[in-house]
Amino acid sequence: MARIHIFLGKEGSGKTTCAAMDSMRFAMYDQMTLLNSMDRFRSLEEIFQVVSGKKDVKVLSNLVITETDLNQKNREQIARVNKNMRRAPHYLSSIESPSIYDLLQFAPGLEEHSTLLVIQEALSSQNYEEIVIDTLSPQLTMKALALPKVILHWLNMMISARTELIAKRNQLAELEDSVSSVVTDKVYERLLKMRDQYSALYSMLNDEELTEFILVINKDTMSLTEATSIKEGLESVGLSIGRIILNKCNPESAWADQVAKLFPEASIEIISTYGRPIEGIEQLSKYSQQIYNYIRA
Amino acid sequence: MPLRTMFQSKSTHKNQEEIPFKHRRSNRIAKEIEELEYSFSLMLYGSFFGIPALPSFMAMELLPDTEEELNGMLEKSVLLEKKSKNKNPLMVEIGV
Repeated sequence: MARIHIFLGKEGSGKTTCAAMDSMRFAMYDQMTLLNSMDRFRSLEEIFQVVSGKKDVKVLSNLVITETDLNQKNREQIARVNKNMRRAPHYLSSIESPSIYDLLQFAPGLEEHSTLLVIQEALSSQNYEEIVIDTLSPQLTMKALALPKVILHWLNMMISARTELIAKRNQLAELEDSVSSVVTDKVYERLLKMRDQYSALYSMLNDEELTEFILVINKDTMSLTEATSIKEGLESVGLSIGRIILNKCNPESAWADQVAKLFPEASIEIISTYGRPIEGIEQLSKYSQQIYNYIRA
Repeated sequence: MPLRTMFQSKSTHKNQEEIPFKHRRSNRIAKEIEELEYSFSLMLYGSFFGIPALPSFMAMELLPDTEEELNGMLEKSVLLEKKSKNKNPLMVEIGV
């Protein structure tokens, strides 16, 4: 099973570049690595300076880069709902009107669910040892990470309501001497299946051996404020930050001490200011070996 | 037999004394089932009309299997609408 590294941070903090450097480092340690970016603003091909029309690009023998378009993921989800509706009774077919599906793309939570699906697919991947995920906005990612807990809350409530309902239906069938007592309930079975799926996902996200949350912080107050709010958001769903990358920061700076005090649970790494963007496999490889480990006093 | 048909068949009795004990018990359970189905539907489809509930895209996955709950919800909404109209003539006046 692959180990997942999820990069979080304010937009423009350098998440994609840091994720690229991190994946280079894993690849250099002979780990089969996948870098998956959901960022629409910074292309991986631009960072690695490779030109390819393909979805998955092998930049090193053990490093593959790929980009996930969340809009495409949303469309896939809607197509699945559409396919599922073919099982619905005929009179419900009015719901199959194309305009309903056009509206579904704006359904609250759909984009968060797509983000969660990307993480879920990564967690079940058998082809890689390390999977680095570069996320889009922190707000969207926070909601996506909270989703398993929220969904499990509703599923548990619905399963207990359904259990009571089935018991009552059986009781009534018994009283009426009806032979058609409720032995199987499709909804109940589906709910149990969904609960198993989301419980597994929730445990995997909470397993520090499997999932690491990495926060990228710049040397500015806004970035630090955003990082503090991400930390609080993660803690509210039982998750914690494993590592912090201080991007474009002087290793001797007092800024690192300040961050270390605010995030006592996380290890801290520092990427210095190089005065120009880090691009191309050679530079990424060179600078990924020059990441400083902050040593706490 | 569909649940609602079973429930309706009991209502042919004129008053409670005429109904045998067994049928009165069935009626009570059928009523409880109706309420449970309604609560379940609210948990399932509440997000479509602004009540905190299971996210709508997940409810859509269960939609093909919840025909009975959907019917129950529609019946209940018609009944509530009728009740509110009877209680409040102003609602009829403004066309609600």
